[in-house]
Amino acid sequence: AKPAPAPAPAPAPEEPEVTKWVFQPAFGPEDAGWGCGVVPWIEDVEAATKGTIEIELLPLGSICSDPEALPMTIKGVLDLTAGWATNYGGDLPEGHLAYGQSFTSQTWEEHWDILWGDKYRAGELVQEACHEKGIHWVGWCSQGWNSSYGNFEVHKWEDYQGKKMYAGGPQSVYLEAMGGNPVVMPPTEIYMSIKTGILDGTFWDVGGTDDMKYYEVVDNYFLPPWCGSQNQEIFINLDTWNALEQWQRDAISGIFQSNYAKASTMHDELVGEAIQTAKDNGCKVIEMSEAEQARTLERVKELVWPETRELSPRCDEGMDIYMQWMKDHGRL
Amino acid sequence: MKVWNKLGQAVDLANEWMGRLAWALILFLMCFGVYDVIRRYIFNAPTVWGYVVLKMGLVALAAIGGGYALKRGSFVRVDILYARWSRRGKAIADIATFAFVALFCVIGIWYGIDMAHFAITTGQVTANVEQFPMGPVKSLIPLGIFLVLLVVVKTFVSDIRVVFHRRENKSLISHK
Amino acid sequence: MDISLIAALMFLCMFALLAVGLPVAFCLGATGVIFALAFSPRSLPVLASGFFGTPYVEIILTLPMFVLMGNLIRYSGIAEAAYDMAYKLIGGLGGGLAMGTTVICTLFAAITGIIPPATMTMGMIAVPSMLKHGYDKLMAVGSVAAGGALADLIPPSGGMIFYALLAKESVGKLFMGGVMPGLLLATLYMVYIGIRCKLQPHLGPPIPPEEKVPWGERILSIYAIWPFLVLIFLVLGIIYMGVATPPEAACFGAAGACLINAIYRKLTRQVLKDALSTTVDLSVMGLWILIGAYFFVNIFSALGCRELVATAVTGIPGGKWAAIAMMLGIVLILGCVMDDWAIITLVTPLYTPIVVALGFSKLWFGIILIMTIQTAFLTPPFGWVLFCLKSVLPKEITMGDVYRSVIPFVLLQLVGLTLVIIFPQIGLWLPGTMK
Ligand code: NA
Ligand code: NA
Repeated sequence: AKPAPAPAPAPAPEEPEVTKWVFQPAFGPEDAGWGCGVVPWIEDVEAATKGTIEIELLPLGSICSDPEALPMTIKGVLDLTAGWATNYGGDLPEGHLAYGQSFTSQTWEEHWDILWGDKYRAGELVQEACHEKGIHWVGWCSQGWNSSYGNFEVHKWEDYQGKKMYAGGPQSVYLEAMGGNPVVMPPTEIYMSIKTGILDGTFWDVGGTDDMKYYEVVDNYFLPPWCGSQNQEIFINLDTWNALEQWQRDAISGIFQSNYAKASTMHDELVGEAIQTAKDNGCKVIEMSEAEQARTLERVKELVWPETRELSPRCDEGMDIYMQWMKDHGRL
Repeated sequence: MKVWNKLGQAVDLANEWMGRLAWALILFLMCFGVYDVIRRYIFNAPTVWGYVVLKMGLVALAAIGGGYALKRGSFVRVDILYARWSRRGKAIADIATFAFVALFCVIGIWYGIDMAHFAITTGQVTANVEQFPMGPVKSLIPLGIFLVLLVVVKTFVSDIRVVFHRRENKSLISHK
Repeated sequence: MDISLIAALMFLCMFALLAVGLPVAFCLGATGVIFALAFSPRSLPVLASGFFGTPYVEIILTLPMFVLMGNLIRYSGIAEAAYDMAYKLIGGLGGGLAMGTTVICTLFAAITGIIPPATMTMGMIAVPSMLKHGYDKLMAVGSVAAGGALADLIPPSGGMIFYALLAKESVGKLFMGGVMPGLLLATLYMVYIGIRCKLQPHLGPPIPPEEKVPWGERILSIYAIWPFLVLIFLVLGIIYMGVATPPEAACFGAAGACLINAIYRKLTRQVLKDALSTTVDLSVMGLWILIGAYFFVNIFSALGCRELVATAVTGIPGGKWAAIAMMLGIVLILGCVMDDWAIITLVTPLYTPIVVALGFSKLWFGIILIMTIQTAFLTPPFGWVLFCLKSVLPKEITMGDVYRSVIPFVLLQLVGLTLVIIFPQIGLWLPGTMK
């Protein structure tokens, strides 16, 4: 059979000027934040701006190393970067508000409510801080639970006492509050270190335990997670942002919420799969009783939240909003 | 000429001192690494800041050791042809490439100052809990590249002397 | 300008600077600066940020520490004692001294992460001794050269550290992965020496009967290798047993070398001074190469050339094995004219995404990459082993002799490489067994 004749091409609209951006996250393609975070965001942005923006996504290290990704975005070497407050927190402490707090929001819907819900809007504080630094907070996704795993059992917070676990940034604040001993090492060495016994366990986002194969080296997964909604942020250089036309900025801001929901849902699936993989490989999932969770919350209130408040005046203000949300939802 | 010789000696001396600092830094890193393990393994008291100290030490080592290593002729080069040339031939090759190295150093210093200035004025700190300031160690970077530039310029001047005063062939920089 | 033309010009510019003898670190860095100025000026701040971000990594600590360890141990005299052992133990066999040299180089490789200590020490001790006992000079020099190159495959290894860093792979796993391929190569070398000297006894005659020592003394001489065993334990043992991570183990290794020198009464002011200055020289030079090469790659990526490499490699006919062969082939060619650390820093960021996309393990690729790089030490005109060795050999041995002496060993290296490619378990088995 003859192929049908190709339809005549539609008259080409006037070629719009294409803006090209360079995007290098502070993590590599092996992280779930790549395929379920930055990639869908880029697709949505390119679609919303009708092909007037083309984004080149580069692996970590293509332009700079991870601690330099945010400074390089501020300087305009990169147009965009993505990461967590745990790796850029030294440059933007308010990022911790966007990242998430111990024992507060348990789902991405709840987390959205604290940062951008009509009544709370802690996100405004983060955006103000960003603008002061010369960046604009432009994308977001929740990666779900960030929890801990180990070769011991945790039924009450005291069980962490004396345990050596990999924990960075806010994780280490939490672990120290529980009496454990945070250890910092290159993430590539964590697996081996648990296997050989240098570490008793580690903190990590649940969805990422699959890729890191932690289920091969730990016996137990601990719940509830110390952080119920860990979030990853995308920032754009402020000049790059301001150079856009108003309709383009509106289009990108317009997908902020829908893309957050979409990417966070993708991550939720990963969390479920990771828990299943762990169980299939003989790991036990240990959940604290309600009474013990309440005792742990007291500890968090006393030792963990104040640390965030101390990071900056805006962080302090942001924690007030978090607390208001907790009270409104009967969690305090 | 005398002024140049004096300046040359000053460059050597500055780098020699930086070299001594680098020796001390290496011994410090060795002892600190051992101490950190003992703390964790024997006393079960690991630090979350120990690794930051080690990493900052490595940045400092790269910065302050550059001029020293270059002065001692330790920067490896592909001397397929280079090794066969006379002192004068080598001098001519060095002169030809001088602009490239100088450009590399000047750009490095320029943006190094910019980076250090940024770190100091914005109060940049490490992302860990202790929040060490980044300003001091980042300031070492333009300084270190500047010391390398001094060695490069010094070699350039002596190369010119070698080329134009054929009798003088005292090597002012040793080549490995 | 066309991207592929820019990419070609970038490499051309770097090779031109290399050819006129500019230090490797500057060739890479200056090329990066020129192309950034011409095509991507906004990327220039990356140079300064690289001076911070590149060494600001814990794994890098292994570099100065293993270098210090090797530089200290050179002065301790344990190499002489070990050679004496080999002489007494197997000197009576045809090619025995050359085989013994391979064994000692293997031990040496297990306690140093860089080429010069083993190569220079054995070049000074073993080559004159073998010549005195009537060995063929090519056999004598070749066995030291091949043994010296093992330093980068048998852990600890500077090359593996750089690879692990850039490929985001575990250094501990890579180290363990290098053990079996390293022993495989050492065995191949010894078998080759043994057979060759059996067939052509004049290449490596046994030591005369009157020089032979009684068996009791021979057994006792084994005692001489205890410092090697202590250091191997300090470095690899404590990683394997879970006391320390690789960077920490490196600190223990350096401290252990200090102690052993002290025990042998060789920790003098002069030794410490020499060891420290050489350590600063080598590790700072290595860091500047790393920074320069990284900047080169950054600019290469900023100009959009990265895609080009991926397309070229994955697009060649013959599937994924042809792609692997092409990647390693490029390394072999670069190995003739470039420093090993510079090659690893250049190719790793470009290769690893391809390796992952092809479905291979980064660990396995790291091992075969290091095995390929190892030949770079021996292939003229640029080869670390060749330089180190020539600097300590008797005057009558020419560079031409050195080049010829390594030919059979380079071929053996390629045989070993092929075996590890065909049987990946040679490399992957040990990392899988840890505790
Ligand atoms: Na080695
Ligand atoms: Na070579």
